[in-house]
Amino acid sequence: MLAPWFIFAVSIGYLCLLFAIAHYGDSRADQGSSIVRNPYIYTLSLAVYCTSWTYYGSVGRAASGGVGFLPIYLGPTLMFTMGWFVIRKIIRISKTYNITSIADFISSRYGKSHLLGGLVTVIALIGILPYISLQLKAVSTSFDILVRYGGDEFSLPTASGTVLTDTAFYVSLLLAVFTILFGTRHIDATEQHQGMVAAIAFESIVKLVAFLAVGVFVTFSVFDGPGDIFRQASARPELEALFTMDHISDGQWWGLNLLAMVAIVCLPRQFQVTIVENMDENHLTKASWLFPLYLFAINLFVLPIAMGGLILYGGINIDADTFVLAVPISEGNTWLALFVFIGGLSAATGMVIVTTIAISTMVSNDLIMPFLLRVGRLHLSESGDLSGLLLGIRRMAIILIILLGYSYFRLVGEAYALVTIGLVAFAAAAQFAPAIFGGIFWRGGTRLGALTGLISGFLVWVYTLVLPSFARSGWIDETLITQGPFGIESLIPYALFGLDGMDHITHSLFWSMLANIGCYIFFSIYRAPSALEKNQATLFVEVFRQKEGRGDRDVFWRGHAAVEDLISLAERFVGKRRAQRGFAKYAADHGLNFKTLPSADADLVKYTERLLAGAMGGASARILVASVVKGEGVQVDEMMEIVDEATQVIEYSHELEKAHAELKEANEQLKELDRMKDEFLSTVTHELRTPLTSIRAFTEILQSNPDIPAAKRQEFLDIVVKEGDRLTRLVNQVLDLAKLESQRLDWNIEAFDLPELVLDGTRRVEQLLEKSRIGLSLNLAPGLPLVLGDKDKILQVIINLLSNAQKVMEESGGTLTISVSKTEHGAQVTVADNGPGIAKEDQERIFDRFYQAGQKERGNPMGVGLGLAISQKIIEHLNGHIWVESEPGVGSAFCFTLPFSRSE
Amino acid sequence: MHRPGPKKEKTIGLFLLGLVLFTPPFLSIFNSNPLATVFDIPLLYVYFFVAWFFLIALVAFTVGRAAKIYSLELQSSEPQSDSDED
Repeated sequence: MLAPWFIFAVSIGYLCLLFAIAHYGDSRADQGSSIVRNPYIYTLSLAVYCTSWTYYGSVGRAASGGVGFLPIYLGPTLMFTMGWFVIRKIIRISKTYNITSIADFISSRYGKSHLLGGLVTVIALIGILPYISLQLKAVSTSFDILVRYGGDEFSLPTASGTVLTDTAFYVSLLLAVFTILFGTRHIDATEQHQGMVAAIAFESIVKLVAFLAVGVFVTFSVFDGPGDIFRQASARPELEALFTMDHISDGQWWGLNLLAMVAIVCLPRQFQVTIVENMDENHLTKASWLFPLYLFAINLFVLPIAMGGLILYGGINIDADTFVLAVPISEGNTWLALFVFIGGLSAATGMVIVTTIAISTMVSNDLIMPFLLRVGRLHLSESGDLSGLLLGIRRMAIILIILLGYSYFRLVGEAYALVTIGLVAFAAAAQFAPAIFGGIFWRGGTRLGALTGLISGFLVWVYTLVLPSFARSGWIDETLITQGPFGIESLIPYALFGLDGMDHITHSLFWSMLANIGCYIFFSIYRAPSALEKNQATLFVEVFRQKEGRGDRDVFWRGHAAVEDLISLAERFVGKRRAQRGFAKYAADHGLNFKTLPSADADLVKYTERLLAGAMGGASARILVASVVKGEGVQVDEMMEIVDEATQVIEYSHELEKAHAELKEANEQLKELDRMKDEFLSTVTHELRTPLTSIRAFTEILQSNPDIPAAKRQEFLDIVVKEGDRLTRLVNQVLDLAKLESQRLDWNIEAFDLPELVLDGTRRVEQLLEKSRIGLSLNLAPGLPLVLGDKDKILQVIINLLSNAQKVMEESGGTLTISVSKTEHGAQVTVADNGPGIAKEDQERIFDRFYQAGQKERGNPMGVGLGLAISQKIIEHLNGHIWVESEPGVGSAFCFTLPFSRSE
Repeated sequence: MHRPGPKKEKTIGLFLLGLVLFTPPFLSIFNSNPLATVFDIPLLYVYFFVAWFFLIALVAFTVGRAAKIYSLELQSSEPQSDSDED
C-alpha cells in the first residue's frame, strides 16, 4: 500500500524530471548541439499520439470490442506508408512559408484568410478541450485507484474529493508552468521547442516501457504466456464475440481507419510535432516505419491484458479502462502499479503539453491578434515592443486552456460526454482534412469552399455527436435522441435521415464528411478564387517546383517601404534582438547595406512578412506589413487587373498573329496574281508580235519588190491573211477571257439538246479532220434530257476541244471519239483522242492561261493557250465541270458536264 | 531529374497493399468460426499483428533503401529542386 503523499511526491518528482530534461534539451539547443535533431527523437515525439486514452482506453475498448481498437493505430500506419509523399509535402510547405499551426496552414493556403484561421481555431478548441479534460481525468482517476485500492477491493472510482485534494489540479498547474516555460520561450512559433520535444520523447519512452512492463507482467507472471490467457478466455462463452470481427460492421471498420488516418495529421498536437517541430524532412523516412513500429509495440499486449483482466475480474464490476492499473495492484505488485501510473501520467501530460502549445499558438495568432489588428488596438503607428504582448497572450491562453480543461472535467465528471470524447475529438479534427489534403493537391480549392466545408462539417459534427452526448448526460432533454427534435424522426441525431445501423462515430463521420467535402468541392467550383487565393494555391500545390532558397515569388508586394519602418515593425513584434539578427542575415546574404538603401524592395518586404508570419501567423503578418508599405501596399485588386489585362493582351496578340498570317497569305496571293498578270501581258504581247512580225515582213517584201512573180506574191498574201486571222482570233480570245473574268459577258441561258449541239460542232471540224485523216466515232446517248446553258458558248467549247484534238493527232492520225452520256451530275461530253497524251504534271495546269502542254518543243503555231482557259471559265460559269483524263502514250480524254434543265 | 525518397508510385502501392491487408473481406478469411488458433492464440489476432508487422517491415525496406540512395546522391551532387509531382 502506497501512501498518497508518496504517490503525489513521485508524480511531482516525475514532472520535475521533465523540467530538467526540457531544460537540458533547450540549453543544448542554445549551444548548437541539439539532442533532438535525429529521426529517433522525432519518432518518439510523434508518439504523443498515444495519450492516456490509448494507455488505459485501448484495453477498455479491446475488452468490449476485441480487435475493434486496432483501426486507431492501423490508420496512422497506413498514412505513414504514404508519409514521404503526403506528410513531407505538408512539412515542406510549412517550412517554406513559416507556418505556425494547423489554423495558420489552412488560413495561408486559402488566401491568408483571418476568418478561416479563426474558424479552425474555434473548431480545434471546442473539439480538443474535452480531450484535454479526459487526460486530466485519467490522471485523477488513476491516482485515486492507486491510493484507495491498495490491493484488495475494487469498484468504480467515484468523485475525487475537492479541488485542493485532487492530484490532477496540481498536475494541471505544473503542466501550465511547464508549457509556459518550454512552449513560449521564443516569440517565433516556428522555431522548434527542442526542450519540450526532448521531454515528450522521454515521456514516450516511459509510457511504452511501462505498458510493455505491465503487459509482460500480466502475460508471463499472472498467466502462463499468451496461449494460456487466450485458452482460458476461449473457455468462457461470454467472451466468444471478442475473438471474431462479427460485431464490427464494415462501415465502422472503414470509418475508424479513415478517422485515425486523417487524425494523425489533422489533430493539432500531431500537426505540431509532425510538421512544426520537424527539424529535417529526411527524419520522416525513418519515422515512417519507426512510428508505426512504436504503435505496434504499444498495442502488442493490449489484447492479453484485456483478456487477462476479463478472466480475473469476470464477475466483478470493474471498468476495463482501469485493467492496466488494477491487475498489478490486485496481484500485489505495487511498485509496478506505481510505474504504470507514471506511464499513464506520461501519456496524459505529453498530450496536454503539446496540445496546449499548439492551441495557444492558434488562439494568439489566429484569434486574438487578428482581432486586435481589426479593432485597431495595437496602435501600429506608435512604437513600442509588442513581442511581449504576443507572448503574454500566448501564456494567458495556455493557462486558460488548461484550467478550462480542468474545470470541464470537474464539472462534467463521469458524464457520458467525457467518456466518448476521444473519438469525438478525432471526428472534430477530421473536419480539417478536406481543406488540408484538398489544399495541397488540388489547386482549385478556394477560401469559400474551405469555409463552407468547415462550417457545415462542424455543424453536422455538433449535431450528430455533441448534442446527443449532452442529451445522454442529461443536460438537455433526452427526447432529442429518442424522438428527434420537435418529434421529427428523420432528424434524430444518431440516425440522421433514417440512416440507422451504424455506430455513432461512423454515422457522424459519414454525414459530416459528406457535408464538408460536398461544400468544399461545390463552392470551390461555384465561384472563382481571388488573385491572392490563386497565388497561394499555386505556392502550396507546387511547393516542390520552387527552387530552393528562392522561396515564393510573391507578386503581391509592389509598393515600396522604408527599410527602417520594416525593421521597427519586426522589432516590435518579434523582439529587437531577433529582428536585428534576421535583418543582418538578410543584408549579409544579399550584400546590402540598409543604411544606404533608399527603400526596401519587394523581396525585403516579403522577407519581413515571413519573419512576422513565423511569430504571428500568415494572415496577421500580411496586415502588419501592409500597414507600412506606402502607397500601393496591397495590390490585390490592381494585381487582378494586371493579370486580367495580361490575359487580354495575350488574347489580342493571338488575334494579331492570326490577322498577320491572313494578311501575309493575302499578300502572297496578290503577289502571285501580279506575277501572273505580268506573265499574261508578256505572253500576250509575245503572241501578238509573232504574227505581226510575219505580216510586216511579207508586206515589206511585197512593197519593196513590185516585180515579184504573181505566184509568189499570192503565196505571200495568203500568209499575211492567215496571220491576220490568227491575230484576230487571238485578240478575240483575249477579249473573251477578259470579259469572262470580269463577268461582263452577256449570257443567253436556255435549255437545249446537247447531242444536237455536239453534232453541229462536229460538222464544223469535219473537213479539217478528214484532211488530217482522223477517224471520227460518235457515241450519243439517246433520249437525253435537255441541258441548261448558253448554246453559242458551249459550241465554242466543243469546237475548241475538237480542234485541240485535231491538233494533237495531226501527225499521228487515229480516231477521235466523241460521246455524250448521262451521269448523276448531268450530261457529260467526252472528247477522247489517241494522241501522245498529257504528262501528269501538265494535267493539273493545262487549263491555265497560255499553258501549252508539251507544245513548246513541238512548236505549234496554231495554239495560243487560251482555249482551254476560256472553256473552263464558260463551263464553270454554267455550273458544270471540266477536266482531263490522260495517260501518256495512250491518249487523252477531255470531259465536261452540264446540268440538266430543271424543268425536265 | 532527382527523385529523392521512395517514388510516389511505391508509397501509393504500399498504401494500397495496407488497405487490402486490413480490408474487411480479406480479414474475414481469418475471422474463423469455430475458433482457429495458432499456439492457442486466436488466428485473427495472429493475423493482425503479423500483417501489421509485415507492412511496417516493407515500408522500412522501401523507404530505407530509397533514403540511402537519396543521401548518396546528395553527397555526389548538389540537390536539385526535387519534385514528386510530375
